[in-house]
Amino acid sequence: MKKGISLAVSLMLALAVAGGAFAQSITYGIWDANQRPALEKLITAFQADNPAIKVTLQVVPWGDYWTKLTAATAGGQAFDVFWMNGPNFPVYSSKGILRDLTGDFKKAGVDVAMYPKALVSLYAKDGKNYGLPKDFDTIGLYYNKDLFDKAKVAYPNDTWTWDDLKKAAKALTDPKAGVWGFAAITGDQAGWWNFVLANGGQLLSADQTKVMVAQGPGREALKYLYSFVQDGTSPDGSTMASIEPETQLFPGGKVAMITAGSWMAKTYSTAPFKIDVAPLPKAKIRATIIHGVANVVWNKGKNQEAAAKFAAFLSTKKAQQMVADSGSVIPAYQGLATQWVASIPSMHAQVLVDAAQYAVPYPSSVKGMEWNDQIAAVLADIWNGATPFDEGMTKLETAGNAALKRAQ
Amino acid sequence: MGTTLQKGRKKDVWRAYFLVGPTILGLLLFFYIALGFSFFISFTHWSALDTPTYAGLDNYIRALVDPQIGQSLINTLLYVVISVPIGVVVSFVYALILHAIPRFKKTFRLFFFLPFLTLPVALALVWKWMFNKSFGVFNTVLHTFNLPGVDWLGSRGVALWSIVFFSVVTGMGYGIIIFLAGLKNINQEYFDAAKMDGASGFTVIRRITVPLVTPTIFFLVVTDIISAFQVFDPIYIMTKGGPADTTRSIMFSIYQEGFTYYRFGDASAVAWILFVIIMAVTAVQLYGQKKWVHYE
Amino acid sequence: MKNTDHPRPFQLRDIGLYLMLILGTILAIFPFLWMISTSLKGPVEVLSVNPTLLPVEWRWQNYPDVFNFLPTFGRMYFNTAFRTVTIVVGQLLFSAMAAFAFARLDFPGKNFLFLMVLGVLMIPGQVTLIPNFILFSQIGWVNNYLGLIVPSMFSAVGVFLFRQYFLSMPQTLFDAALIDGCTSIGMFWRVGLPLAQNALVSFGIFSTLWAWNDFLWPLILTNTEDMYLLSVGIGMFQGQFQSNFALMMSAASMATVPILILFVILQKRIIDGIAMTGLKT
Repeated sequence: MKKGISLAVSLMLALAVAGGAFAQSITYGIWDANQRPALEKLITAFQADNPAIKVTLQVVPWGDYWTKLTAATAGGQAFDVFWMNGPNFPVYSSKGILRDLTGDFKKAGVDVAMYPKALVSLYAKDGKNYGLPKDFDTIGLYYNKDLFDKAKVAYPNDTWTWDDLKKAAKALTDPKAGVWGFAAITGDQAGWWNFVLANGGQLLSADQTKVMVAQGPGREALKYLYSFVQDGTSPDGSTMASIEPETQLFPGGKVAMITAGSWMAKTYSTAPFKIDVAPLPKAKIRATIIHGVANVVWNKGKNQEAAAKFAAFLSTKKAQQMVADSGSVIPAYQGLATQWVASIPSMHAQVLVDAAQYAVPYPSSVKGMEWNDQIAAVLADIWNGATPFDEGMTKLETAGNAALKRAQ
Repeated sequence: MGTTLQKGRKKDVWRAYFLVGPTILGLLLFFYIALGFSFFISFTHWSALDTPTYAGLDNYIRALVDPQIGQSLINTLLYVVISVPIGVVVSFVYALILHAIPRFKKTFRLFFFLPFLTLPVALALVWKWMFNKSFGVFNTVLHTFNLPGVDWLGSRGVALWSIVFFSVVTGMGYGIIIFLAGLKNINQEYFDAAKMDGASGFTVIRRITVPLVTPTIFFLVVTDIISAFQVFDPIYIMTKGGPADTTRSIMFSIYQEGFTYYRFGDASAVAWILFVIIMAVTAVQLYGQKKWVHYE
Repeated sequence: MKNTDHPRPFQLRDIGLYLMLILGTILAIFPFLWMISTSLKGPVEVLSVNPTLLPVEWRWQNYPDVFNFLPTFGRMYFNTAFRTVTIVVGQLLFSAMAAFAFARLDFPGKNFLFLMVLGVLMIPGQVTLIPNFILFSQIGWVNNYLGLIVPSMFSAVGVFLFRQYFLSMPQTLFDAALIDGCTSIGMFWRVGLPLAQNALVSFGIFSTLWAWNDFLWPLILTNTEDMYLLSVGIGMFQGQFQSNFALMMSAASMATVPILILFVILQKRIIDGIAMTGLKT
């Protein structure tokens, strides 16, 4: 009898040990070391509920994340779960290496409706969800209150139009003090995309075969932005190319206003002078670009089920709540943004959260982003005076369309 | 040229193969296999994320027809032709100076070497800032002499020269050290004889030093040309091919085609075109060496 | 007659020479000094538009902070050092061996094999990246020292450099050994290699630097942070929108120190040189 019990016990022990030894290992690839503590918290919580799964967090420097991911996938060594962004999602999903997580979300009790619709569609294909955004960001107009006070200009608010922006920039530009009124950045997500859209323009034609910014409302918007560089109320392209407006010129007090992402809010709140944020000025409509990073799953991994379980967990309300106040990113789950806003009391950060209502999703395309890179290269040349504006518009259209054609 | 040390005995041939073996084997396994793979890939469309599909000569045709890739080839050739002679001459001159000065050799040698000790990213970032039109050091210096500033990285005619400037200054330490090793190798007897004959400094350099360091010059020129053809880092960090594609190099195009646009077939095709060009240029140099390189 | 052991007295023309040297080295030194000074600045001052060379406030705290942000920094240090030493030893040895054979021996296929070596120089680096990674994935050399070290132990540049060096040695140096009945390998080991010390040290320094700063291949090959090299670790301070330049430069400065020391020590070696007295008796 005793022998039987001890045999059973040792068998159970063996099974328990085996269960641990056969722990499923998955890797989680991210590109921001700053978010590591928050994610480690999530991993610990997940592993507590799922002792048979072991998650290893892997941080790859942002500049090389995609290079590494591409090579790793080619060699059959991709991360099991990894961060995905708008511009790269179409490529990865069209090559069939991402797992359809719709079923996994249902199993984990994730309510997809609690996420910003625009972003959910960014990571969906043919009605299936391949990932859910874990955070979101919008674009706002940040301004240096001290410079405004000095020049006695009224702060931007939600009634501002493009004319108001122009007038204020002129009043705030002070060549003697080396201060520009507005940084007309050449960036897309935080810059000209928003202006093209606000003017009622499109970036691409509906069938995605033609670039639309060289004509009509798009062209007007670009001309408007370029006018700041032309009349000296914005630094020129060359200056902004090697001294970053968002991280150096604006926080350095050289520029009074700038359009930048909500990810800069926390940093700006620690500046030596007062910074606040207002919605982007209106033209024909009000528009901003919304984007967010999603967790996706590699569909050729050895422990795919475990990976999918983990990815779904990351999108549950519980997980989102755990990291809501951790840092620079606004949690995507509805209602949790209030904690983020509360963590930046010196600014009207709510403006950035509300922007999600009139936001347009990041314009990722199945044709890739080469068309955008071509446009960006020409814009850079226009901005630093290497190419005249009109010649540039023609060039950018030709190059952009050629890129779209190439991307069949 | 070198003298044979054996008289064709079989055992000695095996000894030679033993000496050469590890390197040849290593290069075969870790370069040539990959090279063959990339040759194969150049005839396919491949995103690296899934399986390749056959593309025939499409990639090569596109590479020869695409204006941006054509421009990148021209820029690269220009860059090679400008930066290599300047670089070699500058290194040689400074090596001679270092060889000639009585004191502080060690210190200056260290100074020339410092760019290699600086993190490559940091190096390029600092230079990018130094080139800045409004706040950079170069224009600040020009302004103090009442000269107009230059748009170092944003002006079409200047940008490529700025890249050359960067490469020469940050790379000259390498050439200097290689030349110093070569100079040390020159038999002192030659210099003594020249001194006894009363030859002037410049004559000594022209008639003795230069001919005797020609193997070193040859080495530097060949390797500098090869690496100049592959220039990438400063362009990636400072100009991203602009302005108006005037600093777009072939390596930059190759990198973009592959890692930015997931078109590794095209990237491989362009890389092979580059490879063939470099091979041709190097072959010409190797044949030409008999004419001007002096071996003992 | 050797080069004088005592520095010769100053001459007037030396002023001109030193001026030229100073001019040339200012630009070479500046980025290095900036790197060090940035490493001691606070996060706000780092991004200042009109940077100053000396930090306003000396933040020595940045250095320990590197380890707080990257606890595996020490491990990365070890990986880099270990890998560099093994690679350099391999490169020097294998390259010198092959170069000696190419320069001073005759054997069938010599020219073809040398062209093969040169060919490697001309391969644009990124082209072999993914194919090699795929190959290594198949044979299990991913994320371990094998994959990190072995492929880099062979240097075409080294073979080329040493070949030139061996070619420029007069035959008389070897005749003595030949008479003594030395084999080709003995000739290499006892005569060629010692005489090539200058070149070995010179190339060794650059080989060390290159291996120390090598970035792309180690990035692709390593999957876990405990196998990362310093070069990859330092990249972690660069974010998508913002970077912590101060910490990054602190990490970079720490990464530089051993090479700096190595160079300073070896410089003496270069200067002392090899006396060619063997021939002049």
